[in-house]
Amino acid sequence: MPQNNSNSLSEFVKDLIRSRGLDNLDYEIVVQLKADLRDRAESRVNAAILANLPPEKVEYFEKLLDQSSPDEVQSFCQRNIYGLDEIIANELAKFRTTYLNV
Amino acid sequence: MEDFFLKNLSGESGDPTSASEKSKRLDNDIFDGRFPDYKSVLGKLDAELEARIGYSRTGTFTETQRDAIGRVAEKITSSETGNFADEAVLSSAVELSHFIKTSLSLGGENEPRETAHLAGDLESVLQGFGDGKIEGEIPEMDKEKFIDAVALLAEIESRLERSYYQKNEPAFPASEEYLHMDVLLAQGKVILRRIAKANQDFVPEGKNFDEFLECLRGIADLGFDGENRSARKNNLVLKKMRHNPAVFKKLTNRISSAV
Repeated sequence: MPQNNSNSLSEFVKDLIRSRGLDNLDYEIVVQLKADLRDRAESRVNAAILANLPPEKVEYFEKLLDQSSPDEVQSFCQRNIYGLDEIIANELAKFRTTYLNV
Repeated sequence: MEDFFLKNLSGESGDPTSASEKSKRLDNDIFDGRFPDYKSVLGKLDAELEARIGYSRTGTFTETQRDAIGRVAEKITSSETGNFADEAVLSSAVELSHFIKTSLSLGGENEPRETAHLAGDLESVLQGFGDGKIEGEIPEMDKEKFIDAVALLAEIESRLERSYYQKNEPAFPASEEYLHMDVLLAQGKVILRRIAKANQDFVPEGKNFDEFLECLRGIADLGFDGENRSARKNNLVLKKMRHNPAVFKKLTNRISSAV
């Protein structure tokens, strides 16, 4: 598994758009489409993270989002959500399935 | 001023017919090219908003939606001036007006159909501007139509995101509709962003198109915060996650490369 590839989600989205044959639209529309799709994929992942966080930790998690660094929040999620990587991978796979209708 | 809002939110006034007529005038006053000269319509806004907020109490809104309206109204009344004499207050009034306007026409029992209907409305507003005609053109559009289109965009995006949070499914059933709506939204943003750039008085001063869209999106989200405390709490946390993308970017990027 590649580490810290900053463009991975962008590549994931780009591949979806190409698979649906939308990459031949006007450039500006494709750029916006990619941004929108990336936002929606992130929303889906966020929802999955929250759904798998123990309910009693939600209050503290909200405080962390307000007050802590990104690394601290990530570390908190990895400590408190069992199988976080698999959960995120599963959500992205479902997102792709929905989008491609396969 | 505060009493005025509280009185109307409690339902002590509100004539739907009258409010409907006044709402149209409010739209005209605010959106029909006179938004930059807002001071000239300040005197009318109190009465118009009173009518609209009063109407909102007559049964069309859920309790949560009324709470949301109350919060925005409180934001207006708790300002230093307590009236519409400054732009920040006016901006809140415009947001409130849009929220009520879009919410009045919506129910909630048939989400996919309603979202598809909104997309149809957006397509109508954008008609003639699409299908490969983007490059090199700045389409002409009047201000009211522009505001309507941005409000529709905000409403649809709010519904899409909520559908992921709550149901984990798109807010519309057929894949082809999904695809069409994605393209429609992207195209709409490109077109409206260009129009806003060419007509800087179309968005509140100090905001660009994307900030204005986000502002209306926040208002649309207010109406969908859920009916129970737990759902409202989760939605609040999800909004904070959305506004802190850096937190999860590294994590998601690493994993998406392996999916």
